[in-house]
Amino acid sequence: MMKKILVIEDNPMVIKSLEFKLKRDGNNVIIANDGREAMKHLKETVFDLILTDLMLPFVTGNELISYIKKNTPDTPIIVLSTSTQENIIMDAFNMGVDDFITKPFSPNELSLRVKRLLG
Amino acid sequence: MLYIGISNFDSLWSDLPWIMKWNILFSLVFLALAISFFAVIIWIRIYKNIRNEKKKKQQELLIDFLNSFLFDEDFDKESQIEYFKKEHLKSSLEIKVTIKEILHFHENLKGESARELEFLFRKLGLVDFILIDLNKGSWYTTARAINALSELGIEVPDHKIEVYLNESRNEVRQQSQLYFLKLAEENPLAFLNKTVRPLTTWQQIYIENALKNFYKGTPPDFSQWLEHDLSSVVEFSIRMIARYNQFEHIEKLLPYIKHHNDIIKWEAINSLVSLEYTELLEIIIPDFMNNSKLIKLQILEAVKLLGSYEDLKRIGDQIETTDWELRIKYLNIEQDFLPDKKERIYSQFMLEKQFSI
Repeated sequence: MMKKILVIEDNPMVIKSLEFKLKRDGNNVIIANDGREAMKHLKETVFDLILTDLMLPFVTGNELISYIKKNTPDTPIIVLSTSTQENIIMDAFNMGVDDFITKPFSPNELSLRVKRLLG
Repeated sequence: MLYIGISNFDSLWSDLPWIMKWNILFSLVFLALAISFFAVIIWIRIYKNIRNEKKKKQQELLIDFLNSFLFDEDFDKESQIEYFKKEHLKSSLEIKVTIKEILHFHENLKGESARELEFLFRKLGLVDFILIDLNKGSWYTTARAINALSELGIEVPDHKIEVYLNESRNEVRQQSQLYFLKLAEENPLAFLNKTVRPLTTWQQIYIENALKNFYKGTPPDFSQWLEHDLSSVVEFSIRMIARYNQFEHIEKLLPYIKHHNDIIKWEAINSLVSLEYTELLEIIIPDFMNNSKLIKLQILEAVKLLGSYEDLKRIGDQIETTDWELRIKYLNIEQDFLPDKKERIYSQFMLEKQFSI
């Protein structure tokens, strides 16, 4: 069965690449260009995995993570962010994210991490 | 009929007073100018729209092409590259958009995908266009070309970039510095020996960032630029000695705490504090009075970080009672040393201020 992945990202190039790669891996990919759109999807659907940026328009990545952890705590979350600051990465892990990937990212590595979390 | 019309117009025109003739003439000239102005605006708008449309089309085409090239295992790379080169790299706009999109992808991807993009860039023959841009003459095309070379790790003979190290435009100088830094396997700051224009603050930040994030070799010995002719390079080297914990150069930094240039002096004190050179206080405290306010504040900061309350008291007598900036800093540090006497120190400060002591 196809796994449902929500990609929350505002960079069109990154969106296209993630969508292409994850679809090639046999997943059902839903895109949200900003935090508000992501919240709409999260209220309507349960996802198998969420891939999110931290810096997002309207609703930040951290707010989204809190919302997901409160409502569907078992949904794995991967953060894809440009930040390499230790405190930001630690904060994300403390909030309960399962993995943290820094940009620039390797699509093959990301694909492997997604597969690992989807089990 | 036409003849009658023209002869009527002639007689009418010749009967007019000269002021009317001038009025009509000017009205016609301005009308022509207004019409041409509007025509140009409409033409520019249409041209821009068509150009944007073409740009968008090429971007969409490239996103699909690049994603298939990178992630589709069934994609016939050789033939598709040849096809793309032949069909979609005809105009300069198509080439510009392609270079920009590949760079954009490269910025966001790393590992195998980034290497694949570098291969594609060469295979599409885009390096030749970059080299043409490099020699075009306008500063922005040169800066853009050098940026593309360094982003994609494309090496060209050193002399082709060295000429831009001392260019009048900051942006071009900055890109050429980053080119040498990002492509270096050793001695990444060798370009400083050929630099004769001061490093701006932004250039120093970019160099430090590139050293940290892109250069993979052994960090350079920063003390080799302590004698550089440019004070900005000396200042940068002093800062880097501390950033890279080059404790072996502490002795070489000492003369700079007596330097005539306050910025260099400030940087030297700051670096020695970072390197936790406690003997520093014995040199700077007795000399406190002979410094500018900038350095005095930095000496107080050094005492806060390296010294004791006793060291601070040695400075207390040297601060003029009316120098509030120094006194506030002094009292703040005193509070840090004596947290239990915080209240008393504050009351003393307010009392002194009230009576302008």
